[in-house]
Amino acid sequence: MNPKDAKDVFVSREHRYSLAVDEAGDRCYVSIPVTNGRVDYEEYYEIDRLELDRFLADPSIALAFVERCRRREADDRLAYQPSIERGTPL
Amino acid sequence: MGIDIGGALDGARNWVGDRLDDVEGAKDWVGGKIDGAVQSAEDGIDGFRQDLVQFGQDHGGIVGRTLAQGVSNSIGLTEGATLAVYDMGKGVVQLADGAGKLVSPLEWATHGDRNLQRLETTGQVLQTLNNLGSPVAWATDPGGNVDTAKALWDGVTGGYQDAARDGDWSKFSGRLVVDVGSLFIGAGEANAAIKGAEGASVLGRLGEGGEALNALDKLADGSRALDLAGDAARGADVLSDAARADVLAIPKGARPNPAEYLSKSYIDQHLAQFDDGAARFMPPSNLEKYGIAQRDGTSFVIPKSEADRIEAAASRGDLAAVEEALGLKPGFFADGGELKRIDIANPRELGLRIPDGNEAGASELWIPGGKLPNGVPEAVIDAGGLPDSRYAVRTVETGGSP
Repeated sequence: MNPKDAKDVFVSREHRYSLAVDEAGDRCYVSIPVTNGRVDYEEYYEIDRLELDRFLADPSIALAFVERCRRREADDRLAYQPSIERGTPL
Repeated sequence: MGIDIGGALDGARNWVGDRLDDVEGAKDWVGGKIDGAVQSAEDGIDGFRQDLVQFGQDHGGIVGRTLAQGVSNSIGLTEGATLAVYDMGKGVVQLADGAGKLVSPLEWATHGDRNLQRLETTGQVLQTLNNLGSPVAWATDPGGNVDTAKALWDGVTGGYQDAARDGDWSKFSGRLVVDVGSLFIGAGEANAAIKGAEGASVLGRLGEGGEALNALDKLADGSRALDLAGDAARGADVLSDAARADVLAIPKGARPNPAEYLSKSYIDQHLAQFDDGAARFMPPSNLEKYGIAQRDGTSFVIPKSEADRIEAAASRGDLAAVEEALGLKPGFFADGGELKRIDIANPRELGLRIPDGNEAGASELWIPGGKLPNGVPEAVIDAGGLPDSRYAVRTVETGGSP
């Protein structure tokens, strides 16, 4: 995926994650800010539409998934990370 | 100018002599302690050196400061050598230290009697020292040997100054280890003799009166070079692999303050690199959504000069260099990636400090000592709640990008 195609539909600055949908509306993502020590960027994890709706309805469910992403327990959903080395969640 | 150079020298000499005993104790202590404790000793000696320079300034103005700076550097040289050979073992440290004293103007000026005793038992070194001029004169007439000090200083430290001038810090450090260590085992005597000849040559060129002040000027230049060289040498390899591993073995959140394992002089020098400003890079979306601070309110920064270099590479279209410098995958820019540069003026006002590794942004790649894995200096500031007006943001232009 290309993050330029993803449009945020929800941003939690407090809990530092975003929910996004691509321009075509058929792919959904959770993104979290990370750093590799030299530059900050976002990792994107793909979710389905049902999950997006649940996350939007109940942020606590979304946050639980975000924490899994931060612990790298959802790497099978990892759709984009631009760093040579995996970064650390911010 | 009314400056009593001789009086200032006598005062400094006596004071230094007393203090040198403390240094001696510190060195003995160094020989028996673990690496972490060595750092504490270095801190103490560094502080002493700074006090000494201030003493010189207070008692002899510019001339006094210059002389004191020279003495300070002499201590620093021995200190650096002691630390450099520390890994070779306690016995080598002690013996190398003793050998170093035989070519130390400071030791001759303050504890000449001790060096005379050393000479009596170290015939080969005596031969070397004979080439350096008259060490006995140092013990009996230190105030009248400013020229000799200059010559001796240059003779002993010329190689280091050359290394410093060339920016060859590894060579500088290497000379410390090899010269001090090999003097002890004998191989370095040839080196010392060569240096002695150089020193004698300088002596022959030196005149009297006004030329002494010229010599002092040159001595000050050499002192500054050595100061920079010493700090740079420490910075080049600030922590041993073992010390670094020890810090990294401590879980994130419990890592110690860098002041516990880095010298004050190193920290001061490191943070001075940010005096022209600090900067960091991030994509526009990160900045817009989360600001420049991390979850804990800290923000990692690099010196403005380093950011300038990265931005210059982007401007000339060398995007591969930018991607490499920032640890991004090749093609980041080709895929439409964008970066913002954030500049923070006067970062010391925001708690500028060397990262301790407990920060939210301290990644698995973090290493102690304030440097990124690629050697670029880094620091952290407190940026939580920082108003937009406190920093400047601009897009990194990528000239020649596809």
